Amino acid sequence: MITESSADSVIEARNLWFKYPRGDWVLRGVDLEVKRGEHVLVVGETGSGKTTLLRALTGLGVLVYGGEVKGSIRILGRDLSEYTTSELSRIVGVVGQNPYAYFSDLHVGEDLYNYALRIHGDSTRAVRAVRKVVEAFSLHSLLDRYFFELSGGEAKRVVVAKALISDPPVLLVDEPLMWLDEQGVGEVMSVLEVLRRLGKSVFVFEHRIAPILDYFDRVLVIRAGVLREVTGSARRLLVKRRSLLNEERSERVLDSEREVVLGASDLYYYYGSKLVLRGVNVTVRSGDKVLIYGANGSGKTTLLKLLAGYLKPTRGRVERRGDAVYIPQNIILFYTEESLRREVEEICRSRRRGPRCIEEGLKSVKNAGIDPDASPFSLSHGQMVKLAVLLAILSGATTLLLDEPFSGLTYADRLRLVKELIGLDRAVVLASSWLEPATVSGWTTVLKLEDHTLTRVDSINYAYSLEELAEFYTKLVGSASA
Amino acid sequence: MLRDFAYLLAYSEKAREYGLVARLVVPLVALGLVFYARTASRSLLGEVSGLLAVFTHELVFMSRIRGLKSSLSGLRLYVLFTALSSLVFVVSSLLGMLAPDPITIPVAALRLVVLFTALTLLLQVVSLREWASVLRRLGFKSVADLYALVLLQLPVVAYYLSESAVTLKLKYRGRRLHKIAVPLILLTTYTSRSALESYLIYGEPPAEKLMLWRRRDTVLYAYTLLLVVLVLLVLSTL
Repeated sequence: MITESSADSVIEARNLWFKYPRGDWVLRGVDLEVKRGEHVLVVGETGSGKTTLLRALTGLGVLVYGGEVKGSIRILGRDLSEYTTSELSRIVGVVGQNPYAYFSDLHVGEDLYNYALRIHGDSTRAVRAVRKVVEAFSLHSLLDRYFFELSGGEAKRVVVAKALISDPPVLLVDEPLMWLDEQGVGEVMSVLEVLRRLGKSVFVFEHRIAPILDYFDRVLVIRAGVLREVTGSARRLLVKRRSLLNEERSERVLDSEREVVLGASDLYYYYGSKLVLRGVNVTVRSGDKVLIYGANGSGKTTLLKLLAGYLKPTRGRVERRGDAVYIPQNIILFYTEESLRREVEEICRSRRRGPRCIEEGLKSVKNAGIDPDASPFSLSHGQMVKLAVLLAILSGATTLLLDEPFSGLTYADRLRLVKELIGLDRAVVLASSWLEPATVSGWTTVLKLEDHTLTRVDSINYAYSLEELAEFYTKLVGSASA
Repeated sequence: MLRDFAYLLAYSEKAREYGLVARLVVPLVALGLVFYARTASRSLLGEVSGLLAVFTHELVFMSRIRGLKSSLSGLRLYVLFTALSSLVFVVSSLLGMLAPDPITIPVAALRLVVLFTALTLLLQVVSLREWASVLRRLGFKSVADLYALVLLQLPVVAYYLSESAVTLKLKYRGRRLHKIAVPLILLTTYTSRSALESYLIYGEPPAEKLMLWRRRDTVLYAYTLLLVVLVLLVLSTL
């Protein structure tokens, strides 16, 4: 969105078009101006062009992806093409979606220090810069770890902190809250406050907008490659609450005689000498819907892998009856075939089920509005999760284990997914680092993983229910004017 | 197990207690001795004894920089190699196919284990910045950057391998595990693009002042020398 070109613009794009090689135009005439010290939030569905806009604004779209650009981009008053990548990296801090790709050293502490040394030149200033971001993001406990040991949320925190080491006047962040737990969200919010005081311009692309909406001066919606501004009144559709809502959880009562499909008793697990789980007990009966909520790095994925029978507990026992299917956080790892048709055929064959299974599977794929001959890797994240659930059902699995399936999904998509999972006729165990899914009725049990132990959650404190968030999101996007 | 393997590909900060040359000497001497034992041994017993001595030396050094427990857990993967090669042998014997002498299987597996340990030690004892500095000094700047990028992503791929294994094991009921390559290749492609983005944004790591010698290196040299003498002695007598 652009009003008139001004001297205090930090980012200015006029009639910006971008396309990847052999693709159609993704950005279709974007006009944008971000002023000094301004905080701008960009909202949009998966595939709407958010990440592409970030790549276009940083020149990475051309350098890395060989894309084609039309229109003009000016950063701090100079044309983008006049900057070297080194110069640009000092004035524009960039944090992409995949945090694990943003490390230049295996050790977290070394990575931060080396980058600071490169930027600031001498050791004293480098140490001071690192100390500052470590304090701001509470990274102390992560400094001695390898980056591949970090949970998704922890890695994201470190990378946001790293981007701030160069003290750039502009910061572009793609989904900073993805995989972050409530504490992580709080830390990002406090950093945004600090950035505002320092007069930094911040340009954020995010789905999970409720906790951060009020921080932004402007909210833009990107749809079909065009940016539109959200009006102030539309932003106020999300009713402000002074305090959290508290709701006693009413357990969904099902027949207690149902068969136990998954049971864990007195489970202990250590990674090397590090305790991950202590005395965990879980009973999942046929048709149960269990939500396991826990902070980043609390051991949710480890617990799911133990329940799946992939990891062996250090102590205790896991018993599983019937098939289980594991749907990983990184959903790409679920797929192995070039087309959905082949996916259906392979899963039916692995269960020695005949042509009827294949026929049924293909019908379900078509009913989901997806071409069976499409590659699973060409689908959006939401579609990939949905199809994985569909394939798991087709396999006849009695239990579905899902690890953080919400990243990259809008509130509306998240709600749809939760409702679909709750409506299934088989057991579902879902691990999540955010509590909002618990506000949807239908879960038989909500458990919290904290301090290595699992406890039942009898009442939940929340700001907004997932239904409210989904409704708000839909209205907000719909209200965006050209 | 696969996750543990990731640690064998990542360097340990503790290794820096020794100078760079001493750190490199241990795996390089081990590699040399494996090949020497193969060509110079007069008997199988001689080669096995020599290999066991080298392996013990590698393990002691690895446990010094990584801790015995975590080193051993990573080494379980090698045991898996041995088990797999033994299985191939048994199956080929049963099917009447050309099968190697039963004695050579464990010896070949031991050779492989010692060789792999030496190669992974090279990654565990030299940091990415040190590799990059050495290669840059030798005039291979672009190779240095590429090498650092690849090494950086190796443990991540090993981690994805673990995640992918659990997914496909359950999805296909333990069958079709060979399909693990498809999502891994795709994910590696995506990751490498992101890594390239990161490289362009954050730049190459600064060159590191190489610490070639340290006082405590003497102990390491002494032990390595002792190993060489011992292996030579064993090979010449047995």
